[in-house]
Amino acid sequence: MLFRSIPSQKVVSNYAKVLARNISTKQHDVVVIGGGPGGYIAAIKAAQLGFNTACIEKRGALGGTCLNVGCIPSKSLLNNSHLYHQILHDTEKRGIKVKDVEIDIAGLQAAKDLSVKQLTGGVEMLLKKNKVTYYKGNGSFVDEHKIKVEPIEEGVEESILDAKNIIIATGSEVTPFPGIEIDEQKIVSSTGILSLKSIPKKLTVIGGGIIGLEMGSVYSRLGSEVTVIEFQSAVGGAGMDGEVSKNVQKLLKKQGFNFKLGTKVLGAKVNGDVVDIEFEDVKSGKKESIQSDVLLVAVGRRPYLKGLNAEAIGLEVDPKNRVVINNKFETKYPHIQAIGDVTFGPMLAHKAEEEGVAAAEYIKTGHGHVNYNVIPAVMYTHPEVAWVGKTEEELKAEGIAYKIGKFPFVANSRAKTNLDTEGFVKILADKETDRMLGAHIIGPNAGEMIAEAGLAIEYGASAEDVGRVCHAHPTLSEAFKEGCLAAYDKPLNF
Amino acid sequence: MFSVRAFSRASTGVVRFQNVNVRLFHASVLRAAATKFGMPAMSPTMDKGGVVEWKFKEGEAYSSGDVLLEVETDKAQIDVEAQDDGILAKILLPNGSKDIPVGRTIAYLAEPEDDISKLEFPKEEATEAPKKQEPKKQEPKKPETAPKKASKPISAEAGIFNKANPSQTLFPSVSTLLESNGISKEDALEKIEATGPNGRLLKGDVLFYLGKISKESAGAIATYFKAHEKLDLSNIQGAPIKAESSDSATEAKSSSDAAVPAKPSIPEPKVIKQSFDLSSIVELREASLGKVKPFTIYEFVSEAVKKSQTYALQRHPVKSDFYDDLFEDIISIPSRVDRFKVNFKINQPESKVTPSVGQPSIFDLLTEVKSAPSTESHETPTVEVELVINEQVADAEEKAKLFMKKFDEFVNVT
Repeated sequence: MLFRSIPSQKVVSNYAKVLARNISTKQHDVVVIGGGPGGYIAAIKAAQLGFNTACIEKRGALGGTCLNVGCIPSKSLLNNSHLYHQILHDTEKRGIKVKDVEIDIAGLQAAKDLSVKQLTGGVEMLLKKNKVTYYKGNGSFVDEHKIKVEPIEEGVEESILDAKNIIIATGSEVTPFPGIEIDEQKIVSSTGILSLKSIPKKLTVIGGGIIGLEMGSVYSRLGSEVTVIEFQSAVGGAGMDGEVSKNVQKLLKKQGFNFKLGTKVLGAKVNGDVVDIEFEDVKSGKKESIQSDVLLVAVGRRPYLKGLNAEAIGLEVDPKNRVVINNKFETKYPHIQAIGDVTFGPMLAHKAEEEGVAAAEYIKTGHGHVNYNVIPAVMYTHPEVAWVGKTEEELKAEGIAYKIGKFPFVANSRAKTNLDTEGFVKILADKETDRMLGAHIIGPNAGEMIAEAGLAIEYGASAEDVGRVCHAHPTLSEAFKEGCLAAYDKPLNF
Repeated sequence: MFSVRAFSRASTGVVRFQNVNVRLFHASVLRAAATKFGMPAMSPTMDKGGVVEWKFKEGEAYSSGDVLLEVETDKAQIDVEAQDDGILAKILLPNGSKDIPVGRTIAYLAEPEDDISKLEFPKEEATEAPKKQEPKKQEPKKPETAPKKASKPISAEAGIFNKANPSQTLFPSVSTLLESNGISKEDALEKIEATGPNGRLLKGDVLFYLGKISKESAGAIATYFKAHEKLDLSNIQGAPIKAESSDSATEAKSSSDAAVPAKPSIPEPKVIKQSFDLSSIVELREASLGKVKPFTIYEFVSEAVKKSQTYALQRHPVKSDFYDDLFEDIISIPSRVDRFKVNFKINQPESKVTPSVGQPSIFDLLTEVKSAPSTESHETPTVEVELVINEQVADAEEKAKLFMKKFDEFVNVT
């Protein structure tokens, strides 16, 4: 065999360079380790507050899990698969005849990749615009003030950053399922499921949380037979209101999902072209097995600290590996903070962003603002599910007397004209003071509508306060207003 | 209720006179309407009380600081002072009235300059008394949840009730309540204590001020929100992080979502291989004989490689409305960064091995390695192209695919 090297590709030995390498030390006021939604926002905010700031990211692209292998690509698939599904099943009753609808999985993936590329690139531009020094490489602790950056690009020198303040924003990674090996081909994580090359005939999902239900939705719309196996007896994860969870399960079942709740997965193995999954009923102990073309393991995420060499400074973590912090995000070293998925609280991009801003503000002024009462959560299935504030279960556990105001979308004029009437708005308000405690929405555009509830709760508004605000007609948001009316008085259109 | 029991315990036996809210409402001068004076709550636990003695008669004017009446609770008799000047327009419940629910109107008050004979008295009453029963109905529920929090008594005084922020825009519920009770905004901001964020007056605060709900109700919910504003970082067992074990390293492998390891231990380089049929080039070569400068298959292929490479590495190989030159200039990886390395090998039938035929191209001179004749025999010549991808550059694979696409266009000219 004879191979020729093309002259235009200069093959330069790096050895001389490596030998002669002079490790440079750079001074920064703030160094953020991790360029995800928490990290890059913290870096931008710190730079805006006048600090000489650096951000270290080793993925090769900014935006973290969210932009690269999480929220953003999944939303591209969800939106486009929903369009396809609508064209396929939902056009005729609207008086539109479409012939020969076809899914082009490569095109679907390309659309997703383009969105991701543009957004991650946009973040890089934002860092540049705010004069944040961006180090593409792995940051690891040398001591409590020095961080070594090993570059991922060739021809770039290793450097040592001397930082007055350090923000750890290294995020999280997929929690593996004990005994099941993820190969990202047949047995995939939330990352692999985003880039399947073909539509599996049968898809099984371990974990009925938000990721599992969203990705299940994508492939269910594209024609896969989806089975969700969940250990708990309800879908949607721990934060979802019980009533909402039951309704979500009903709606998804109608869309073709199979649910196996209260079911424990015993193991899964790739067997030729299929995956054999064994599970048992938690109560009866009855064992069963199914075959699936693809198995998605979506049982949660865990803090990611690899390559950080945090043991060099004796950083403290709890048994779940979350970095121990105080209410100012400070670790045992006051100048080292930790924010986002790597520490406590819900693993959500927007929560990390808030913390990033607050962490930078704490460095500058000694105070920052994150209100953990008002962290919204959204599941981008169809209909969407969104909530903020307390669930009925939480209020019951705390012994808070509350009122419920509910308004179904079937009574909303816009939902009706859109032929998209599944779901409801549910407002929880304090029985005595009428202060809004929580809002739970299943329905079209729930994710956008939840912002209004967040604003209301942040300002301490009562259901009446929202009920008295003029909402445009005909819009879906009127359902939110009516839900509030229902909580303190009576709905008008129901 | 959030530790109502605990809360009451904390305040029991303390007669906090400064908290005695004498509800002296300014009637709007324009409307000249009397304002209701409800039974004041002398302590957070008080839900009813009695009038011992009115210190003023109907129609008498009083000034700020005067003792208006004496009120009797289950614990003590307390003087109620006026906070503003005014006139005691009408007494509804005379001396000796007992078991009056907190908030029930016991008198009407007027502004000092009002003419009492022309005063309008708000219609009411019957509806208000039953409303006051509500908190009591709930009462039996409270002890169930109270013990849970008893260890952590929350005083509603601890920064829960604050002076109202004077520069706020009132909530619609608040302004509606104030208006329907004839309280001016200035008065409300002055007198009503706020439990909302940054001194914001909430509906519950006004309801409490009006005596419609108890102080616990107003305070408890604000306390609850305040307690949940911060992450619960209690009972955390922290321990210094352990060095990564080999066990966790294998785990890392299975979870590919983790970011790319910075310096992988000699990674298997990703290689894209494709074989192209060169028969169309042979035809093209024969067809073009005499028309263009004669070329060898090798020359053609290396030129095609070069051109495909230029194509793939240019900034916008794919036309799109989404590309903006300035934007891309900032964000994209410089084109000089090596994305992939090209190796190729031409398999030709023996007779057609012609590396030495014609003039060597400049590329042949630059590359020290000369192509040697292949011993294999083929019907038609083919070329095997191998791209070794530099995975440390984000767009390397994408560029490599573009290369293959363009190269394919070159060698399949027909």
